[in-house]
Amino acid sequence: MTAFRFIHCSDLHIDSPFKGLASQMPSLAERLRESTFQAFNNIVKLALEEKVDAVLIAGDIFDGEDRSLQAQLKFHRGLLELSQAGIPAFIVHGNHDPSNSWSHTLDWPEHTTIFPGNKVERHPVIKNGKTQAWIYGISYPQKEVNENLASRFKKDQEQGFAIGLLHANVGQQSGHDNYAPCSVQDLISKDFDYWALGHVHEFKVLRENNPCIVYSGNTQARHLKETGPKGCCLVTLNSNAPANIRFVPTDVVSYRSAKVDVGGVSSINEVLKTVQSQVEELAKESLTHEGLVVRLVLTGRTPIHNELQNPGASKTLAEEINTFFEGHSPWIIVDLSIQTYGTYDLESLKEGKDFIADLLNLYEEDKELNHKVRDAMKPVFESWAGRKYFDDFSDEDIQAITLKARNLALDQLVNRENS
Amino acid sequence: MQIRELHIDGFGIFANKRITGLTPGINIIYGKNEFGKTTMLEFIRRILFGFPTKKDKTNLYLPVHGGSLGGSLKVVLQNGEDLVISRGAGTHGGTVRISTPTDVLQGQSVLSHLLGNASKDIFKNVYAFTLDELHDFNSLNGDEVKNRIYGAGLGLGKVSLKEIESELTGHCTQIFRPRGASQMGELLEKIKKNEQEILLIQKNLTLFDELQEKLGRMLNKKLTIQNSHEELESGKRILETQVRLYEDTIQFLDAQNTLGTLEDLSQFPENGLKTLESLSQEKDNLILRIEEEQSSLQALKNSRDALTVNHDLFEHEESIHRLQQSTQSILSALQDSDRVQIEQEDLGMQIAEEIKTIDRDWNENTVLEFELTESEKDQIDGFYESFESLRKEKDLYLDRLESHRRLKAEKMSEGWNIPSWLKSFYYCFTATGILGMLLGGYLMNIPLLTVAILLVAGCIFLFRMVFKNKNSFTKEDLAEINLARQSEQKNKEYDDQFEDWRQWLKDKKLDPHIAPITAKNIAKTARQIKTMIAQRTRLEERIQQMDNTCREARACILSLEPLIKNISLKNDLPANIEIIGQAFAENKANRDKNNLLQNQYLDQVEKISRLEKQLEVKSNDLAQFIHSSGAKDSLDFLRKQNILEEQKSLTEKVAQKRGIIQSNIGLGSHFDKFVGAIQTSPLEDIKQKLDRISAELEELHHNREQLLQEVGETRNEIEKLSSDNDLIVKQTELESLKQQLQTLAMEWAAHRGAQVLLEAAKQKYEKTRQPGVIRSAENLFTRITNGDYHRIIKPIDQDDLMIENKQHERKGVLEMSRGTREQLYLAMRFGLIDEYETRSEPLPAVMDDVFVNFDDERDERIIEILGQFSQHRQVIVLTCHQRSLEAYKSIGATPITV
Repeated sequence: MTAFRFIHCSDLHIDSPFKGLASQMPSLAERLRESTFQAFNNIVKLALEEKVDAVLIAGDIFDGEDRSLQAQLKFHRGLLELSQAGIPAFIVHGNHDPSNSWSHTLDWPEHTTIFPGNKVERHPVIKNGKTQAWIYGISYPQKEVNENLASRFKKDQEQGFAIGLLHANVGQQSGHDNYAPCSVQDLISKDFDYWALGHVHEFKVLRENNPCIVYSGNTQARHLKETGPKGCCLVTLNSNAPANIRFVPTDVVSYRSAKVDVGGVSSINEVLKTVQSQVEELAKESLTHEGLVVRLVLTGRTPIHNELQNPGASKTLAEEINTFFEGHSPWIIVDLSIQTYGTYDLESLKEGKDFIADLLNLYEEDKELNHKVRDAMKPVFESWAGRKYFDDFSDEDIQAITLKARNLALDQLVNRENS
Repeated sequence: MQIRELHIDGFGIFANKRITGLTPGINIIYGKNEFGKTTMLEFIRRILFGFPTKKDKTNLYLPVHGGSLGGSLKVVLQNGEDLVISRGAGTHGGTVRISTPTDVLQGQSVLSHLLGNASKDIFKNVYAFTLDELHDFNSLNGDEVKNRIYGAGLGLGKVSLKEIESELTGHCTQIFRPRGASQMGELLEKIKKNEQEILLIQKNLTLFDELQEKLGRMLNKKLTIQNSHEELESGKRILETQVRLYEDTIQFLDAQNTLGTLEDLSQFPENGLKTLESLSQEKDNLILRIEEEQSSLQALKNSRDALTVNHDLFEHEESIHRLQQSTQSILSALQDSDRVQIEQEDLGMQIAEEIKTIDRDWNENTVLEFELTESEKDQIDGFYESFESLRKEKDLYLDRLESHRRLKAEKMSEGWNIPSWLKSFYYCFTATGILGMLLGGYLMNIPLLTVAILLVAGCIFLFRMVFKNKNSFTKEDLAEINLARQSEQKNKEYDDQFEDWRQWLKDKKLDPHIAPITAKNIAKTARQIKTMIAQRTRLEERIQQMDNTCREARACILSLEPLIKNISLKNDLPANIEIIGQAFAENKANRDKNNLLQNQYLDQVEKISRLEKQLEVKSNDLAQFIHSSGAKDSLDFLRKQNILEEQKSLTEKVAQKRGIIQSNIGLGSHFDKFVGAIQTSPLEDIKQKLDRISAELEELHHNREQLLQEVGETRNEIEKLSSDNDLIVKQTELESLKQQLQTLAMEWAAHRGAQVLLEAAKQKYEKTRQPGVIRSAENLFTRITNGDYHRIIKPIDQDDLMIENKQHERKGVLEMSRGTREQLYLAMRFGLIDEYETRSEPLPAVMDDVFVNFDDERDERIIEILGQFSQHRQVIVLTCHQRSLEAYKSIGATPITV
């Protein structure tokens, strides 16, 4: 058995919208929109450059709920390029793009294998008349698959490497739906050489060898929470040596979020300078990307807290910064939120015998307070027609809201007096 | 700030009023009833906070006793600075000026700053109040005052909790409202709209699949149609070729068949027809020629017979020649006869006319007889000259006489020739008479006077006489007489001469009255008449001669009349002569032509006989040739010749048609098959088949076109769907909207949280802490009531005050007596002042007889408390009660009497 070189990727989410950006800049929207497709193109390019033996895609190629024709056509074009280069592509559907969400009239190019949803199939990768590997895989027939699909895999060929292609939550990965759940042990037991997994949006090697169990992560971040490098795995399996798994970034837009402490900063200009230098630092780390979206949270106690609290202050500030970085390479878009405090001395205020002291003590001592705040939010978050568009509030979120509420009240009580 | 002096320029009843001597601590201003307490209180308020306008619907305190509205306060600030605050009428509360020892400032804002930003309401309700205002709880219930009561204890300084709450609520409402417009509501609408649009676009995928399937079906159908089309096209082409070559093929077959049936003519001479035709032609030509010559002969005969010749006429040849020769003279006689006749008659009349001009009694004979000799002519000239000379002389003398008489008449018109001496004489005597009259009158000498008068009278008479006979003063004219006599003589000579002339005329038998010139003219006329008579005689001879010529010609014509047609004596002579001439010439020509035709006729007869011999020879040659070709006769020969030609033409046709068919179809089996097919199918059948296939093809073509169009449209639709980016655009927009909504919701939640927190804090505060104002007031109130009441309670959510007695019984405001209530309110005001002055410039408290309802006991206590209250501030009490004045004086108040 010789070496088998392939690309493992997953969760392309081609042409799906970016979440969590309030900005409505058309240029930005266009760039972000294109980025998932560009990321996939980068994989195709990599496959052609590296002349890999196969490309394995472990589900969630696009958001099936979107039913985006564009996404499917774009994907089709990429596959066609691979096909023309004679590189076979193996694809399973994931929870986001189950079989029933794909166009059934698109003819997939030659050398493209899409695994069915009803059973595990296997297909060989043959090079120079010799079978290099067998790819086993099964698709999601519908969105919600709660069955342990891994259990259906059975290695029945000895020639060549055995590779499992699966979209699943292995080992109950948090932050992801628990679809096709299975354990690492389940996978180890199958005696495969490599498990090419999809579903989790982070590059994770669950096991480095015998077998390799790998999440390649998504190819392009699409959410402010999806920070860190995104890409695919260039894998070389050797019969006599450990597997070589190289993570290759494919994302074109980098998402970074950071907190900027503006404590002690006493003017808006200084805030701007602080933010700019912070963004420049982040930009240096993203030189390989075409663009950088930075989510900045201004924190700290600052005498200009009140000024920052003015309606539209954060928007104006963000605009200033974005204007500053116009023409920058990579292009930079900054999204700004403000969580600063006033300069009041909380400790001494708490010591007082007045209303403010009562309020501060109440915030710290009243165990019912979070509950009361949650109750007060009911008209919006429980009864209002638009509630379905909100993310669920965790206790941490409520705590953050209560903290902001306390700061707001303090701003009013203390700063108003000072002003 | 403490007031030292009031200077009222004009305000209500006050005009130019000064109140001085105000000190720190209590000042009691005393005056009789209606001395202007309230006016003074209002003056202080308005100088500090401004004059109202008519719009405020309050007493404007316009000056009643003169002076301009306004005045000033002399004050001392807490820091010891002296100021004069003056205000006059003007907009926005009046013009305010603040004079410091070094500077003069202007504007309410400056003053406000000096007053520690105390508001008008605070001052009016807390510092400077009347009894009525004290009594009115509402005066303590204004937002600001209330907040001070409440907020002072809260430790929030100037911050109004209510304001904060209201702001938070406002912000929340702006972001979200369950009903009605709000930022979140608007966003939700946008999101829903966006989702609807996305749903629509998402159908594109299904549509794409449907279109793809449709396209696949259509392409299959297109292929089927394409095959059928090609098959039909090929069939159509074969049939079209059959139709096109049908005629040729049929002809080819017919020609081939006919060739087989024709007679063998291998013995028939080559070019036989040409020879036969040549011989026949020559024979025919000869026959034709004989016919022509015979017709010529007949024509000659006819021409000869048609000619008539009058041989009798040739006998008159000589007389006809003569007649023709005299034609010219007859013609001129006929032409001139009338003219000459007329000429002769005119001449006769002219002669008669001319004779009459000489004398009516003269005739042609008289004229022929009249003759003047040359001497007689000379005599006439002598008479003429003599008459001329005499007439000139007679006229000369007559002219002289006339001239003389004209000169004399001119001279007479110059005046009368009265002698000057006569004039001097009577002028002298008249003067002497007048002088004598003057002298006589002067001297009164009557004789002298008389003489003088007579003298004058005599002179006047003389003058009249002279004037009357002025013509008597002319002379006799001798020259005139002489001239008249000479003229007379010349007249007589002229008359004598004239008498001689008459006598001469009588001798010559001429009219005695004619002039010599006339006599000469008569002689001339007589000569002309004689010439004319001679000319007339010549004309008469010519007429006679012409008549003779015509007569002879007529006689000759008459003799020719029976021989020549058209002659008529009615015709004029020249016409007849012409006719005769022509008839004779024609007759002569006919005779010549007849001779000629006779000769030609004989020649022609000979020629015809020659030609008939040639014809006989040619006929023999022809018969011999036909026989040699094996034909029975010429008709048979021609039949054989026709067969030969048909054979030749059919052979050519077969070769040509075969060529055409083979060039289209090909050689060998294709050719045979094609010819066989044509042989077995009638043209109609082929055409019907072709029509059927064409119709099918057309339908197929139409179907194919339609299909192609549909394919194109479907492809376009697929292309359109494939290039449609709307979904992702809308999705991105939706995500952005959702994020905005989330952000707003968070903001709303934070504000709601802040409200919750404040509410909780308020409740806690209410339970555990009392406001400083109330505590301070409570202390005072306990003292005023001597401990009857020891607590004042302000419920946190109620605009009410309660008091609690020793027995912990609570009373509401309405349950209190008027005095107790006033004391409570006063205590509250003092409490407020205490609280206020912890942070601000102290202001003077001004009270207008507020204690009248207090009982004596409490009145004393209040005065005592007031004494303590005023230790570090200024209190001005306005009263009209002597009792009060004394009471305040007793605690060291500064009395000021107005």
